[in-house]
Amino acid sequence: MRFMIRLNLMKKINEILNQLIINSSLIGGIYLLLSKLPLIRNIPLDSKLFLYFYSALLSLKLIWVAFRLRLNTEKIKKYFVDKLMLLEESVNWMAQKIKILLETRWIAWGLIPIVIFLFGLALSALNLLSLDESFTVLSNRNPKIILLDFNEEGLAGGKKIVIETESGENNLGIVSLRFNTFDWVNTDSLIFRIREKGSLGVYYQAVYPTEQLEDGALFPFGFLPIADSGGKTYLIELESVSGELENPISLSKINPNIVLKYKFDKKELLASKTLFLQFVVKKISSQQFNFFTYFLLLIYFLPLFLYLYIIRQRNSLSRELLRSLFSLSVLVYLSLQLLVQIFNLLSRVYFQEIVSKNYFLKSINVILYLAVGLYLASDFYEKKSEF
Amino acid sequence: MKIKSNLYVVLFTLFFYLLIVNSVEYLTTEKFLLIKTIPFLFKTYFLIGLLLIASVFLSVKKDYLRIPSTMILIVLFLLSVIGNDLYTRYSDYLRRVPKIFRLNKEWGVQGNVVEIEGKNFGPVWQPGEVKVDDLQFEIKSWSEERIETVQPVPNRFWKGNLYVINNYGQKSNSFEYEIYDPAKLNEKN
Repeated sequence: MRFMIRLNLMKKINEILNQLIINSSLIGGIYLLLSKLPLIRNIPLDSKLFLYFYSALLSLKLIWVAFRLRLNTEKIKKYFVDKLMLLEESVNWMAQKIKILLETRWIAWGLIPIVIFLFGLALSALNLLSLDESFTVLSNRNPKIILLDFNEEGLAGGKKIVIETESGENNLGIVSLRFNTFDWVNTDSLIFRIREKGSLGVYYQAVYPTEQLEDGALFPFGFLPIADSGGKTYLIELESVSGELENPISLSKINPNIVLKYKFDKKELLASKTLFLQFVVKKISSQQFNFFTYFLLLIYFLPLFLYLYIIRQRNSLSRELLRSLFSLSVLVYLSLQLLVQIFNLLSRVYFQEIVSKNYFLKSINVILYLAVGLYLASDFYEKKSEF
Repeated sequence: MKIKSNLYVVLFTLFFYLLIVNSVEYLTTEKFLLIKTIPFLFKTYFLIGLLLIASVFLSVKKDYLRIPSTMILIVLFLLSVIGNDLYTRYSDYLRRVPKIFRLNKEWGVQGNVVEIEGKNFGPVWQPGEVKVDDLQFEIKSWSEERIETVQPVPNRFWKGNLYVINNYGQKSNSFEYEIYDPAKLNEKN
């Protein structure tokens, strides 16, 4: 009797644990789905904590399984084979549905390519537009500057750097500067001032501890956007408060070392279609296109090319062909990652930042997703032919 | 399908969670000004608790659970998401409005420093104004959650409402504050 009660209790706990894992997976899936949709805000959830909780649940389940099977290898093997069979059943069901879809000509050659093309276009545009901190920020990465007062030996002990620059647009709100901090422990503070040329008054000034600056990275000095800054010349001053002459910081030689950012009002942009279109054109053209960027734009259309290739070859499609495409994708992905590292090194040698680096790093993930997709497709290809 | 009952319970849990969390957040941080924010951490613990209750419920009452149609599941999902989205947009607006939580004194004479604690006052480089009715106070220091002001010399003495206006012209809630006559300080003590 006592044994039966114990067995029932164990069953109940196992059932609750199973339900908790399924429910947490569903909540996690919904959270992921919502966080990837740009139009819908995230549900209020600390994703990191939830992930810890989920990992703890899975670990508990594994311990439970191990305890139940008492490390009997034959039983363990059977347990996991049963689970895999269940997974395979659902994958086969999905493969059958996809096969029916692909047999319809207008879906295979019309609807799906258009959807993949639009998806590529949308991702490409979104990534180009989201290169800056915010959509409403327009960057000028190559402003005309004159160094009026410049210390070769760097900023320390009350020394000053004065930069003259012209604002090309209204709403100048951020001046980003790139520094060399030489990774010294620095207790100095830096005074940032901006004022219009010819004007006696300072528009904005603030003190920043130098330990906030990161070596080789752009540091944003923000202020209330100047509504009528277009066409005006500004003087940007950086003054060391009390740094020691032995460990100064200096402006980096990596270009661009000064970026002017204009903060536009979202409501104003959305109110006028002409203004919005002008803004989008300016935003895209401000990204400094080069051969490298054009090449990257193609990456988001790779799924389309691959789909068209596979659908064309579907009669002679084999597991080997899919595996070759998978190997090719992995090779391309790894080569591009290597290229990024080489460019990182070159940027230090030639003092030129890769302007499309962020875009590049985001976009090459598409190749990784393709590789995973191709691997899964090749794995289930033989089963597909059974239907 | 077996998973449908889980999906139903999860969507119901999500709906219930968002309803409770958003209502509690609104009431405590915006309406009654009890706390400044509810940390995400507590919200997640609450969701985990709800998931645990839902899982126990499913494992005990699964056979009696009437699974609704797919349409009801979709409606429940949309209600949760759209409701949360609308609230987030509204609370984004509320987060820009300054709010006073407490003052260090209820009355003062000229030259007294009044410390105001609250939230959404704006950054140091975007100071606004502090007023008692139409009498403007002098700003001594300004930060996102704390303002120090100095009471100016008034031309009359009265009990009015102290409020903050941020750099964008948004007005906060008000606290009763008395501009006191220094000649009557003995009476006050």
